[in-house]
Amino acid sequence: MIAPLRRAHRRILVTLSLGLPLLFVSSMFVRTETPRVDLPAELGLGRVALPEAPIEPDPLLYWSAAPVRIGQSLPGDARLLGAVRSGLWLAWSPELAELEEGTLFVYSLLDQEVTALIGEGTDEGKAQ
Amino acid sequence: MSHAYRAVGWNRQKKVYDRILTLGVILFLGLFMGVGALLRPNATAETLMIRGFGAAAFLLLHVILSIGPLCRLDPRFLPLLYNRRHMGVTMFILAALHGLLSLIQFHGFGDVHPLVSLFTASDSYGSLAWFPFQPLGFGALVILFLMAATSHDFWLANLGAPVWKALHMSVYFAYALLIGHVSLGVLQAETSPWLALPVALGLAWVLGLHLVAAGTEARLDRDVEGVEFEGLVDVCAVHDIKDKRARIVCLDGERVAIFRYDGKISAVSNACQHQNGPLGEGRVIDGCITCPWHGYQYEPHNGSSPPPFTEKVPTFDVRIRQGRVLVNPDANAPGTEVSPALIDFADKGAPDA
Repeated sequence: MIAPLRRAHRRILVTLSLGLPLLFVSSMFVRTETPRVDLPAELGLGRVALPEAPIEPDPLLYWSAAPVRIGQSLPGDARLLGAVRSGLWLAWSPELAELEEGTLFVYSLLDQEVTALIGEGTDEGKAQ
Repeated sequence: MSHAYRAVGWNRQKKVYDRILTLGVILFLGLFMGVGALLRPNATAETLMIRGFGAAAFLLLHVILSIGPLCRLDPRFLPLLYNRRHMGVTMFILAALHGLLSLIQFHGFGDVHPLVSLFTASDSYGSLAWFPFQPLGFGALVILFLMAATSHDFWLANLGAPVWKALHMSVYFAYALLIGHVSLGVLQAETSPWLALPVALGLAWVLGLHLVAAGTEARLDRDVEGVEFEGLVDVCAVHDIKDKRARIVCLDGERVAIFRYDGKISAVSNACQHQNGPLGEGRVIDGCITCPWHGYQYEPHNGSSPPPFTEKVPTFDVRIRQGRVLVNPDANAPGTEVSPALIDFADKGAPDA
């Protein structure tokens, strides 16, 4: 009959009751990690600082040779380099190493606007 | 029920259930996308739809997971359970729309196949903050698809209730994957506590409800410690059972429903053959034990559904001795005829409730 199913159900419930709250709480703690990352040395970019403030949803990292300001739409020459999450790189592109001088910036896919310039006013935001 | 495919047998209850469900989903999506567009005027329709479908599916999954324990705690929630499978299929459709639109928006325009991109965009499995959350959602979607695809009674009949139940218990695994998908995905980017709080409350609600229901059910799974007489176990007094109702006892780890009806006592397995619903919480209607979940019926003396139906549940030998009900803990094969124990006036004890 169904006693084995009941036992399996009980075990699943105990496992979830312990595991899921732990997973949720842990995930809330890690999102406070400092938004700073060291890029691979071979890119020659040094350290890139991402905005301290919470980044807007669905952020993407772009490069543009043209001047870029916060709040503007995507520049015509913008090149997608990768996605950003929790202020950290989710992915990066080998193209970075080949870029000429320009500006790295974060673009919100949701808001359709530039939300942050990376390393603005320092050499960090400039591709070299 | 039959091993041949039959289209869904619509009745008024199912139509009302589905209308309310559809209306609720439309209202939620309209509200979510309307408020989203007001708060973020530049947001694209695709993004609002991705988030709306995902939120609706996640919320509906919480409702679905709550129905089982709520029905265990209060039978007034049983109408929600009646057509729960339609709610599950609706939830899968919403989740599939969320997944499909996400796949197009985030992986559809690269130089690799979108599914390859989904699994290779990030390989930071060693970091919680960077953990690839999208494959978690994909895994949950696969499970939900299997459940939706096998939700029809055709599969229930072919697989058998225990296998079908085991397959559909994987909803808990899908739920775990989705908690990971949401916690490591959108809640990493959206840091507002007003988004994290509902997820935390939903998780606490689902787990708390299951734990409370499990606690109240635990007493049913304790074997009866009645005196044995000639291989039969003394389970209760005749007057402990209300007329047309049952008392559920546990014998050798299995629940047995002992029904009293028309001056007789019969015992059958407590698990309905359809979806393992609790027969002992049903009633005897028109001479048949009627499952409280979907109305499947069985004759008390042989555990068989009345013709033309073919479902059968195990029966148990039962006797009455000095006003006490004695049950043989060894189940008979499903559908085995067992003479009901007749209640003498002297056995009757307290008046029927």
